[in-house]
Amino acid sequence: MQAISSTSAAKSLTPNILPCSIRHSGPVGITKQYWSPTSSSNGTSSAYFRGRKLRGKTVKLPAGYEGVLLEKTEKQIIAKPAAPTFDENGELEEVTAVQDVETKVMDRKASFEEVVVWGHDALPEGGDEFVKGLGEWMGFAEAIHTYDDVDSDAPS
Amino acid sequence: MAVKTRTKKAAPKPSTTASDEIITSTAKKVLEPSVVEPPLLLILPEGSSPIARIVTLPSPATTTPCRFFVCPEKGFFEFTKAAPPKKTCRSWLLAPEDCAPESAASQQSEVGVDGEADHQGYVLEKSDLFIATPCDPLFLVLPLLVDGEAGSYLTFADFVYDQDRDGWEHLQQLLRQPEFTKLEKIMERRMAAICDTLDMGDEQDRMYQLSMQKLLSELVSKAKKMVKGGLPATMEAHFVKQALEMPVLSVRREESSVSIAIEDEAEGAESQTPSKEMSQVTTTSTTSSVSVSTAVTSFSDDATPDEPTKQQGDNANLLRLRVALNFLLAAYTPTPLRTKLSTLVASSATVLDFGPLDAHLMRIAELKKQVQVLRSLSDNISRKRCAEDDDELAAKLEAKKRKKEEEEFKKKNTSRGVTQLAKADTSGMKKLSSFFTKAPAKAEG
Repeated sequence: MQAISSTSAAKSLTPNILPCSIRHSGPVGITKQYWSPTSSSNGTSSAYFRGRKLRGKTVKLPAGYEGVLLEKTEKQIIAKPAAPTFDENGELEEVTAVQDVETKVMDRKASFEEVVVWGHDALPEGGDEFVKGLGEWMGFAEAIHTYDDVDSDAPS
Repeated sequence: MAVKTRTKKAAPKPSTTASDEIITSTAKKVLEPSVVEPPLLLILPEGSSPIARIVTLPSPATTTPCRFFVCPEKGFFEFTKAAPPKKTCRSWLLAPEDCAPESAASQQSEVGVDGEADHQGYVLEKSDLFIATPCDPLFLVLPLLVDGEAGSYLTFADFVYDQDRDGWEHLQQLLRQPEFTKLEKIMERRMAAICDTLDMGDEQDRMYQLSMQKLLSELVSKAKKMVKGGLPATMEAHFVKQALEMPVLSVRREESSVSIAIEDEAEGAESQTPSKEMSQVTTTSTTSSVSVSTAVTSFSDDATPDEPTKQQGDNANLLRLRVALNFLLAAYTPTPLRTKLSTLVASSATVLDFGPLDAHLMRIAELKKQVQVLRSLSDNISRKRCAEDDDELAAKLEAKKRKKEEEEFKKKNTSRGVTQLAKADTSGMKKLSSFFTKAPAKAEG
């Protein structure tokens, strides 16, 4: 089980999905010398990455969602022992000892509101997995899973 | 910066300590070794509670452990991984905001400052993105209900807090917290929506048993909702448009100068199957996508244009509904339930009548078969590329391309000398191997 740290002091990063694979994972210093995309008014941008021209399409996250970069940590949340519960006769209810699953904290490293999908020389087409995943799936999933919660908390 | 783009193994791998020295010799800055557990990119619902947790639960359809995001305020969310196929090269580059799009003039001045004024960003090799989308708790409790024996009613707590159930520890622990009671209530209500209930006096002891009819109607109403919002474009194109597409035979046959005898034969074949012409009259839309021959297209003119289009729309809607329902069955219902539900769909025509659609699909299939027959007939007359299926053509092209590539590869690997030697005329010469046989003649002589 993972918890997400509530500290919202995370900085803002723009995730770019590059059309190449980089054999490295981890923090890097990014300077304007190496990465300086220029955006045009119609939502597309272009950049040069190691001498190659890339063209990017900005995909905004749907309303009501936020993007986060999470890093696993070894920090743990110790659950408070459950308060003793009493049944209607006022007797201490026997709580069967359940091994609690350890909860590790994931640190919020950064947050984002849009993703830029890049393609070589040409804009990534609509069939791109990321464009599709963000655009089509999220709306469709909401259509699937909405339910009318007719019953309110009030006793019927 | 010493980011190596060469993906060959020979390049110094940043993860080994020994190779660090090699990098230092070539560049001023040393790239730190790759992080063992790189951070993950997730899309989460905005404003979720700080006590929300990411838990592992058996997936509704396959019971393999999956991750869910559970928030006491927002409810349940499932994670979907958006990842391109393994073959494509994709990686994440997380650039800081002030490095992102800016006017060209300002960046010009910055370049001279050199790489010292760097901003912290991230590079992630794996191009995964986890998207949390809402998940109806109905699907979560469904696997619990399936295992229950027929005729036995159990309380909500019996279902959810079953100690023997594997994979549910996370959620059980979560739901025991007082903050999550609201969520527990929602779960129970969703459970009630698909169950026969048995009231044992007070609210606490309501007992549940899965009702297939209720589940089906719930799924159908979900499917209707999905269709109402419109299927995703790719799904629509793949499952609806393609399935309802009328077979089109190119009109080439009239243009090509065909001998009359064969034309007659073709016509004869058509008249032998009167049912086909009938079906075409009823199914051709106003656009008259079917144009098997001039004889048939003249028929479509007779058909009233209004009725077929309306029917077409109904059929498309029915098909959309079926696609949506099948998607729900495949993605969110446990395997043992799937066959039961699909037979229930087939038998209960009152809930959903797929009859017209089935008839229509059959007609299309029949038409396609007949077009195929006609096509093979016309194939005898002239073989032209457009007679072939696009898929077939693509496959052929692919094979051709592969062959060419192989040849090229071979060519590359043989030296010039060898290729030149291969050109020499060896027809009058003895085989080289013949010189290296045993010499029996000598022994005898």
